[in-house]
Amino acid sequence: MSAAIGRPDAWRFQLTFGPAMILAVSFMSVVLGAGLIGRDFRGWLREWLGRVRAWALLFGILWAAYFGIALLGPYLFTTEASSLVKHVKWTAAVTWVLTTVGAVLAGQSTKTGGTKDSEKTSGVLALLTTFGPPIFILGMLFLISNFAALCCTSP
Amino acid sequence: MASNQDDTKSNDYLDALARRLSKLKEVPDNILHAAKIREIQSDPAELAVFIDGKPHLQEQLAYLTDFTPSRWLLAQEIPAIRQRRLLLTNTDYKFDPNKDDPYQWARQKNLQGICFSGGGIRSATMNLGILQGLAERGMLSRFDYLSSVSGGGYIHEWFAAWVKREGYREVEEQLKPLPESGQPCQREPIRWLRRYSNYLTPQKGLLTGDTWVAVAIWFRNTFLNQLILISILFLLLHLPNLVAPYLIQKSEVGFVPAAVILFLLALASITYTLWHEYNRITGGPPASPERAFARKGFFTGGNETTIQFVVILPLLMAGAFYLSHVVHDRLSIWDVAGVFLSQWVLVASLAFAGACLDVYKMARGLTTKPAGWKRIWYEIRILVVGAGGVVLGNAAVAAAGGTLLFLGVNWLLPRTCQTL
Repeated sequence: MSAAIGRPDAWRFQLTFGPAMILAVSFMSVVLGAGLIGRDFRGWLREWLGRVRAWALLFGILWAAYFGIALLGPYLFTTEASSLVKHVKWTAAVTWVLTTVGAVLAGQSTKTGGTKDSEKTSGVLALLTTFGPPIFILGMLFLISNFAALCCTSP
Repeated sequence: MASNQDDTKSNDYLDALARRLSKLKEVPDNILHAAKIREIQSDPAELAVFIDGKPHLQEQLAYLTDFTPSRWLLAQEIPAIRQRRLLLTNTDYKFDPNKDDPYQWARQKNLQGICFSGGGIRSATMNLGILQGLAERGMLSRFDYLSSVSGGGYIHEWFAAWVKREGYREVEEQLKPLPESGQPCQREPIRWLRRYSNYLTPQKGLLTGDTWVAVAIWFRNTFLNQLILISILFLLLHLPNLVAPYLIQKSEVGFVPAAVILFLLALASITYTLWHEYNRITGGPPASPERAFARKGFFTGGNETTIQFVVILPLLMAGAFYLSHVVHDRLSIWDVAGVFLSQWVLVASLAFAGACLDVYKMARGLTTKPAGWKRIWYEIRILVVGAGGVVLGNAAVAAAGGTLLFLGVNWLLPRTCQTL
């Protein structure tokens, strides 16, 4: 598959990052405008706009993540995309599997019972149960996007 | 509804239906076996025998007499519901089968039921938790019906058996969850339930059939469940691949008008929302407590969902539509002017609410308001001099900054892949 799909086209990057960047233009103008007006700009609106900007940032990140996984995910582990991939490909895959299995086992451990008793709760295992599920989901999404690309590029 | 007391007493629906039919003045010709029915109509016993085993005829007669099986069944259940409610609430919810309609009675008395779904021991465990939660809140006795299937039936029958042995109130009391520590263990029926929670695989051990059947069932169910989830994710992750070529590569489709409309929608939404926010914050305390806690409208009260869906999302989509134009290096002086103007209007509208509405209001308060047509000129003068000067100048500088940033993005986007 890796050889079949080759290097990603420019439009994939553009659609992943472009809309969020254009969205940022409007909000940077607003920040600049509020800054120029200075202390005359009312506090409540400054706070209100701050929250709107935070939502805009989240929407931008969500867009980039969704389109990134869908459009760039299949290219992440192709050697054409980056020479670095050649060295870390299998390491990343093994780490993902181990983290997933470790998180499942850690979740069943009595040392991650969810109690506040520090003697019983293991720090490393608690960390594994916290970060394990998101890492698994991320890896799974990359796998599915690869599968989707494989289905679409196969004859 | 012309009802008959015998209808509720009879345990046989067909007998009750035949009695209804015998009192019917006229049997229409379009009913199956109309002639025969007319012939034996005066004898309910013979009628019941005749209609037995004829489902299509029963269906026609049920609608003709307005006496469906569900109406008959509900009428049969009502005495039991009344008896139960009398026992638990000391209130007799009277029902006269000669006068009252069962459906209306059920609606007026607010009959309620719980349904326990299936799912083996998982369902039984979850439904035990629901029973315990309802018992803890004293809500269990409110329900008149308990319906269940599969794993839900397991907890249903366990609960029913316990109630039959000890009584409703006692069971409700004992079902209440105990605190986590420092208390005696759970009641015997709950401990029994937990002890035999392996009822689906009673034979333990690696080489027993029960174990391997359970493993196979688990794999089958997990596979089917994950198949649905993965199919949805597959579709979602494949969707951009289908849409993207139209959005980016075929720019001749011309998405710029769509981008402009979406930008204007976002601008109008944010301005309108801000106007309400400004009036809410600067308008003093609400006239009444009810007004203070009144439900806020979609566009009013700074609703975050509104901002997300009518401001941020349209702006993001406008960016996506405009992208097809940007990445092909087709920007003209009109594009740059359009971006500058849009940013200027956006910043000016926000800055007006943020700074200059106050100046405007203050100026109006300090000067004498003329009457007649001069009032319009007065308002414009106050608006432009008092508020507009600060806003328009600053907004122009901010819009210039935004336009420069836009040009930077425009330069960067077509080159993204080349540097990676």
